[in-house]
Amino acid sequence: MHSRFLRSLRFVALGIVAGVSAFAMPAAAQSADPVDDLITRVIFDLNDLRYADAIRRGRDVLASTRGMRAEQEGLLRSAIAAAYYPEEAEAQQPDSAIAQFVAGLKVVPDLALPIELRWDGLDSLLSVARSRTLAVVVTMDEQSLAGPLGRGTLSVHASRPARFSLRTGALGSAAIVRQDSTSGAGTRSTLQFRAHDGRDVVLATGEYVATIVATDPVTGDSTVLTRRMLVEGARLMLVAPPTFDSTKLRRESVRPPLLRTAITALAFGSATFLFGTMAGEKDFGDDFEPDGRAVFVGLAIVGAGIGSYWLDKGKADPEAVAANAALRDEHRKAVDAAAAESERRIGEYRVTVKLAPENR
Amino acid sequence: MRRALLLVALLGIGSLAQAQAPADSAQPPRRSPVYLTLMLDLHGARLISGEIGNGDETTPGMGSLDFAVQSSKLGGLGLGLRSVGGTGAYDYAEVAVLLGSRSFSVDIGGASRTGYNQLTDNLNDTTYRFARVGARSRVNLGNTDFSVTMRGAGYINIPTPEDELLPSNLSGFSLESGLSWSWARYPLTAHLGYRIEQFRVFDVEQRTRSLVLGGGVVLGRRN
Repeated sequence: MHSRFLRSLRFVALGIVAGVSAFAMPAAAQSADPVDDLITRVIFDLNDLRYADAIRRGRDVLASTRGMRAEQEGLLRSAIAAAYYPEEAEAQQPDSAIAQFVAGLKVVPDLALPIELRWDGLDSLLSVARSRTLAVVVTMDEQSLAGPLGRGTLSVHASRPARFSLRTGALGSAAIVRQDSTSGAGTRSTLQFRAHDGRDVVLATGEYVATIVATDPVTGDSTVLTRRMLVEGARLMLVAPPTFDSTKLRRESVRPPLLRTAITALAFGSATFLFGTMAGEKDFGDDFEPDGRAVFVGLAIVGAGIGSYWLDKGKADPEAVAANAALRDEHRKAVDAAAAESERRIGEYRVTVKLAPENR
Repeated sequence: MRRALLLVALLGIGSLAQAQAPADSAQPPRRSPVYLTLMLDLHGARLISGEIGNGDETTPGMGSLDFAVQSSKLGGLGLGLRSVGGTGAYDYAEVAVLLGSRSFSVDIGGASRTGYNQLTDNLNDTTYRFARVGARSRVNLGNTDFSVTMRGAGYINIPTPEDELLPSNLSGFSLESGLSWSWARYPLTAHLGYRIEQFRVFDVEQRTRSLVLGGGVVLGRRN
């Protein structure tokens, strides 16, 4: 009876703390927050041993209140859990109490019982709840990122030591970008992300899904948390490199016209054949017999002329080579200029990133 | 006469075809300041003599040494030397000044040749000296290692005091064409040609028809 009296005194004190100064808020603001008043009334029910009323009132507050702060929800769920698991054994509902602790850990990963609510049984129940869930809370302020070097940061807070990783992907798209991950385990960490990886835009104007994965290295448990990320910024317009017009290239190898070579060989071959008729045998008159050797040489000349069609690989045309080199050089400069301009625009690429508000 | 005109026409066509070459401006840098050939040729010759020999034909062993050099920079001014001879055949030597380019140059010079002497009635025991005027050409077949050559000259008598006593009425000509192949890696060349010569003194005519096979050194073949 004495201990019950002492607990009642603690509850009164806790109610006062919750309603007046528990969250270190200015006095004017605390008295103006109706949620704090509602939580105080739940605690008063608990103090008056009206556990059922405390549970009912607390659940009503959870169901009807929007915009409740995480700390308020954590305290409220702790109070409801205490109502589900009082010291009186006949009123204890441990599963329901654990469920409230698990829900509380999801909004306050380092949820701890106020001294006024603590007793050994409830502490043990909170430990059980903590071991059953790996809760993660993500916070991020609105940030501006510039160029490939600009980095945004996102804070993660887990109920147990864990490793974290961050992926982003445009809403409705299957493309995923691995932004950052941690190697060591801890309950708090900071993950970085960028809007441009130096080659491609990673975050452009639009909605993205940030996926945070927390993994407990001891148990292997993991939790996947997704948050919508809102990105705003001017569209990045890169300069397209100019295409090379190969039709402007000149032939670098010149072959003389086949007809000219053929005429030359035919003329010289025919002349050789004519030589063979100009020194007739024995009879020096006009009735010549052509010398077969002249015919042979003449045919060899004509044959070489015909064969040159296949043998002729052409001759380098220095003017064409120089013109083509100048054309390629000009194209390379244009490509370099386009790349430099694109690089400049990438460096000036700037976006603003913020997390979409959570519905709670 | 008709054949002579036809020959001139053929050579003209061949030369004109080369003169139309449009790629002169695209010529690679000259690799040699001179165009030079030094050839050693073997002649599969047939000598036919009229009148005195009554059309007798002989096939002596003959050879020739031929040298020509032309500057690539001094307007194609050059020098040509040639010696032809052999067992049982005549001896011939010429020196020529070459005016023009490698593809076509005028050939002016003098020559000496053994020939028939009316007093001795022998075919080759007297040496005659005479002037010769002609032309020579060497044209590449496209950009291949083959080229075609052509050369010809007419013999012009140089009057001497002896001519006043006994006119020799020297006349004649020589014509030669061929196909040459030059090694791209080394300044070596091989030659297949055909040569005719007609030499007439004291109304006795000697004609030579030769298949020419040779080889030698060539510089500036692409100039």
